[in-house]
Amino acid sequence: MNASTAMWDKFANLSYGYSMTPPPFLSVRDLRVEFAARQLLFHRSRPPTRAVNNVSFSIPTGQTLGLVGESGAGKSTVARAILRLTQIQGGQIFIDGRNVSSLSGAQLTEYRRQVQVVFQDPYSSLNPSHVIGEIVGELITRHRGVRPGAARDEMVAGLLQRVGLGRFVMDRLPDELSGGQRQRVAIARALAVEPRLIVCDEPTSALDVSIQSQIINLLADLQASAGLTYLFITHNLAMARHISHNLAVMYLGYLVESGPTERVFAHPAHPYTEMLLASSPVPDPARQRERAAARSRISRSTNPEIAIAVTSCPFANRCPLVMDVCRKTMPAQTEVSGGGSVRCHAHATGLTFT
Amino acid sequence: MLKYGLTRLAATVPLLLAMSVLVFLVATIMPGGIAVVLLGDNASPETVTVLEAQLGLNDPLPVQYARWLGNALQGNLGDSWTLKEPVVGVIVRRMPVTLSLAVGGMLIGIILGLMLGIIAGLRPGSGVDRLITLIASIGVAMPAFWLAMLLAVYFAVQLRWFPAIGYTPLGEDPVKWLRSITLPCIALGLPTAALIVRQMRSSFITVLQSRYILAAHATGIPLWQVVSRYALRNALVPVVTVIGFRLAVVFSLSLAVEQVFNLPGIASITIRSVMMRDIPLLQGTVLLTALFVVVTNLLIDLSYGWLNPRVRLA
Amino acid sequence: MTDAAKPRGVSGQARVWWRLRQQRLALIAAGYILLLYVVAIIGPWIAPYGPMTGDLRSTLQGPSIAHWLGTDHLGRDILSQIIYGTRLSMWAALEAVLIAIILGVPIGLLAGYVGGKLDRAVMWAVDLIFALPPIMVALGIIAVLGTTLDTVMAAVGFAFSTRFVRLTRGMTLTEREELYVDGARVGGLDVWTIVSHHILPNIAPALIAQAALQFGGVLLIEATLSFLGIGASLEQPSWGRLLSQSRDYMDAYPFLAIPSGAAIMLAVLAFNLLGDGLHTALGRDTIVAKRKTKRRKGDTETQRHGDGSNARSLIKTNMTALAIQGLQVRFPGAQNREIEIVCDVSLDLKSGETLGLVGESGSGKSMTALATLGLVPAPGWISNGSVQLGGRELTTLPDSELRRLRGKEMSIVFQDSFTSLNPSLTIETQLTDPLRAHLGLNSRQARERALELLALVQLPDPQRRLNEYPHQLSGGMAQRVGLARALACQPSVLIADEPTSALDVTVQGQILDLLKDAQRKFGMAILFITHDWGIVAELCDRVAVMYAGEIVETGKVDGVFAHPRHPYTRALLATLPGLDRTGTRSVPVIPGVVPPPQDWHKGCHFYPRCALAIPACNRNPVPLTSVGDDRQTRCVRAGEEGLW
Ligand SMILES: Nc1ncnc2c1ncn2[C@@H]1O[C@H](COP(=O)(O)OP(=O)(O)OP(=O)(O)O)[C@@H](O)[C@H]1O
Ligand code: SF4
Ligand code: SF4
Ligand SMILES: [Mg+2]
Repeated sequence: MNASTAMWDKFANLSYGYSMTPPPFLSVRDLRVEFAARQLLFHRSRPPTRAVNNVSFSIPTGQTLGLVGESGAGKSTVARAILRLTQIQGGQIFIDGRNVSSLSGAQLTEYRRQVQVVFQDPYSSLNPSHVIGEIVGELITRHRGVRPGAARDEMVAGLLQRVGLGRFVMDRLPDELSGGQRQRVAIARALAVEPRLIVCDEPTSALDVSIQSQIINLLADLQASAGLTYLFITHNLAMARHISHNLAVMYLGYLVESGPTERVFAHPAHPYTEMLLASSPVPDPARQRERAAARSRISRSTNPEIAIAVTSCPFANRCPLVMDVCRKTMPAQTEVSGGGSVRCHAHATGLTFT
Repeated sequence: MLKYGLTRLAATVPLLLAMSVLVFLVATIMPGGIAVVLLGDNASPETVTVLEAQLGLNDPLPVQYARWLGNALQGNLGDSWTLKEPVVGVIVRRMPVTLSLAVGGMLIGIILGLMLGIIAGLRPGSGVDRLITLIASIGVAMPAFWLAMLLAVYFAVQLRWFPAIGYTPLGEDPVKWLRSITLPCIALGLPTAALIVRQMRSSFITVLQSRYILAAHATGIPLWQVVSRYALRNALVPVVTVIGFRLAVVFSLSLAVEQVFNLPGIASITIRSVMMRDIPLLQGTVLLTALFVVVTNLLIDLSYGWLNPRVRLA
Repeated sequence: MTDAAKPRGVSGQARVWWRLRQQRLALIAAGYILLLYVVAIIGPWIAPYGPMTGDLRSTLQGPSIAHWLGTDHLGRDILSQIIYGTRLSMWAALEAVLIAIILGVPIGLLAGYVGGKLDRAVMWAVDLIFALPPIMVALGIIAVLGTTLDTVMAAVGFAFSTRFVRLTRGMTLTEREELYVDGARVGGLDVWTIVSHHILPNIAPALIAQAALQFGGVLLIEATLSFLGIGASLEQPSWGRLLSQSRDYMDAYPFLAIPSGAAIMLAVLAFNLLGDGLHTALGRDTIVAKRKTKRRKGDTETQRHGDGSNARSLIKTNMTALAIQGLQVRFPGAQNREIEIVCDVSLDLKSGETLGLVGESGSGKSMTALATLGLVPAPGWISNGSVQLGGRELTTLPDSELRRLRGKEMSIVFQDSFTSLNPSLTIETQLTDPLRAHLGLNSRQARERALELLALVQLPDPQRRLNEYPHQLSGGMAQRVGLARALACQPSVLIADEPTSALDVTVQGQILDLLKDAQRKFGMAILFITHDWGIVAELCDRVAVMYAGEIVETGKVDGVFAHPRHPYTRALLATLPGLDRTGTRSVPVIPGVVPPPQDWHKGCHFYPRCALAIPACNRNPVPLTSVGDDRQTRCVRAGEEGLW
């Protein structure tokens, strides 16, 4: 735990420009993504909506960063930006210290060898008209130049074995597999290029409870054996706590808090983080009833449906600690003792809610 | 709703302009050029040049288009080359016939189609449903002009209930007018009804299986209310789209049906214009169809907005 | 749909064939089309006469041995003309459809995949042409290029290509949103590979079905044009031309119009039927379930008599708000088998109590809820069991009476709040309709009551919201409206089917608080369906655990959490990652997956995955047995000392 805190300190500093060694594997600086409002051919375009605002974080090699937040917070947009599936409007993305946010052509292909993805929905993430052997083998051909045939089949079978599937699935269609099996195939496909970073966008939330832990264990084992780095997106705090070394919390496009997992859970610095923690039910009747009472006290008065000004703290309409300054200026990112950072005016003044 | 209506109306302007450009271009891309078509292939080059100069064909295209459009907006589409009289006059004279057929056929199609579609969709898989579906499949495949011929033979020639050919204007004798367009309208209406039945049935079934209908049942409101208020309106949305496309098709199908009943609509002049390359006449009829299509599409858009708040309030 | 709806263990191609074979009409149609093309090819050799050889001594004759379909006004053999016409019409249609596909599909793919400005420009142009009737477009082109059959069909093909552009583009747009396309991009594949190798194969089936349908349309247009004298020339015997010639002799000899007209109609019909069949067979999520409307009622009747008396005797006190006994729901499955989706569910719910119903996806929780309300969706039916609301048996009640109870005495909130609200009706309509139906309020009273209800569920600005449509609400707001609708008549039983699963945790907390408040106010019983054990821990007095269609354990919440008495409950609780559990990187797992209903074992349904399984478990259906204070479990080994 001490070790991980120390590690966090290092790369937190690094993301603000202090020279440090060793560098984090992935680091994102002031990322900004906007979506143009839908426009028609002969209509003036509406002002764009910001999906991600000045988000910065980094992940040390071989570790997992859990990215949590509710739907619409911008988690998947961050993932898609890193995967170069979405155009970014500002900021940089570094892999191994190299700026990758403007790569194209052969360099982009090379980048894609290092960064792979496992999506949330295993029912739509595998091409329904390709057999598993093709789905996994395709990337071997593309990136390692092995033509379809016995040699490639062997490699595919090896990958499938690593994710706990028999080679018999090779000539099955995705339709014929269960959700858990499909998710294993998606992981095998990601492994096919021998990546160093895997972006996991809610990889378990479409799965049965009893299957979720199978996938989590698999991911953890792969990390241990291959030294993979994960960006793990989830809205399940228990899951995030279980798998991640560090945690980042997003709210309406802003990274409101980040830090070592232990610290964030033990001493949440942002009111939203605290509300999230209080709202996540735990499977223990006595404790959960207590927690529910506490949660009601925090969240009862708040109303997510009230509109807020663009310049205000995005959480102002729901925050029990809201002050005048919150409605006027966006809080800056400040460091938190115990590691990490937070965006909240109250943090500086030491206010908390009880 | 008003705002939505105005937006849709405004959107038709570029559409009409684009159509007019297309229609205008038809004339200019004639192989050999208009002058050759007018004078015949044997004309001497000199006469061709003279005529081209006369017709202003040497001006740049935009200039020609502006001139043509200016005239068109003033109701002047030029003289028909073969009929030697103003195109607009010819069309205005013949228009009521074709319009009566299209509107009448459409009305029959919509009323019959919606009713049967609902009946079939209420009990999918039942005997009534299968019967209606079967008839509709056949109806969709039935060429309108063949149906027109069969109707003419039976109801006009053999039973003598209706005139087999000819048209009486509405102003002259409303009863005779009605009798003269009944069979053609049925011939156009039945295949249309068949098409609408199929769409109505399937969208009604889809809607009845939807979550919100289940939820409506769960609130315990009476069955007729669930069907009429909660299901019907939503089921109509895709049907309206089909009706929109069909309107245009009915307009063109009426060409063939007019021929069967020898009605003095725009069919014969359209065919004439195509066969004899009477460009002004062709431009006139195509422009007319375009106008008809644009107007009906506007109506469709409006009813679409009325049915679907997401479209209206977007 | 889950895996359950699909036949398993068959390869994809085999399944497509199987589905195609189910489409009998389409197969017949395909046979007929094949025949037409054979005739089109070998026509000149099988036609008894030349198409133009007439015998003026035998004009306008009826069918005879020499002339099977009679002769026309020039004494030409009609059958021969139809055969030659087949050649012409089928060929022309093929030509036009091929042109339409070759022009339309690539443009549609490109516009759909690239999107943006290109897409908008293409679609604008296409809509322009599409708005015009194809026949007019064709006429315009024909006027310019001339009236040979080839130009005509090229023109028709061009006119129809807009349909393929629209269709292809629409499907490509949908497909592009699928994650596998993103996956392919992340995999570094180039645009060409993604479009041709990934997207095209997935939209091809729908395109093929569409092509078949368009064939019909093209045939009709070709016939119409020929009928009008455009296209096939006088010497070319096309079907439409034949029909047009027969027109002059209709009065004297109507039969002349029959063969050619029928030929057109049958061909178009065949293409349409084939298209429909392909559409059904190749559609991605087709469920092939044959309907059995007739059997349903009879079945229920007999079985209910068998078990009814038994079930009734089990109802205990008047405290019981809802009692479900031995509930069984079946659906028709493949090969005329019946699939049992809810097997033997017994629950009872006392007034003011909250009962949690937990289980994994597909265990039958929602179906139990729907069956309780008498709302099992179409091909399914309640094949056994009893449901009593306040002592009144519901399964025998006619629909009209059930409706009077639904929404009034017993109501339901669904998980997907958006889809359970009607998109084209205002919130006011949807809230006041039940109020007016059940309480006889007039519209002003109903509106006032609706406002109260919205205030109760803490929807901000209720006045304005009443006039809005569902799509103007957020997920949390929509769920509040759903809750208001369910609480409208202060029911004695509220079924909540995962009402918070689609919501964010913070909103979930607020909805749970609302439910608790409402329960305190109205004293209703709640059946709360969820897969989240944390919610059970917070909200419920008792819990019932469902696995594969059966209740496997029920009991008081604290007891079940502390000492689960069924291996499934025990294993599941062990796998749950807790908020406060740290360090360990490996979670205990339950091996295998929840099997689909048709694979459920005859004995214990959990047998294939159970750590404690013994051969005895798989022999006979395991009954739910009582093990101590208000606790029941469905396990052969429930009584063994030391195991628990
Ligand atoms: N209309 C239907 N036709 C055929 N089978 C169906 C139908 N609806 C549901 N099923 C099947 O019934 C079984 C139980 O489904 P049900 O929706 O009750 O499960 P559930 O426990 O509510 O799951 P979830 O947690 O996903 O909501 C599943 O195997 C499902 O595939
Ligand atoms: S900045 Fe103000 S409103 Fe925002 S979270 Fe902090 S205290 Fe709350
Ligand atoms: S009956 Fe047997 S297989 Fe089933 S849960 Fe009990 S021990 Fe396991
Ligand atoms: Mg469910």
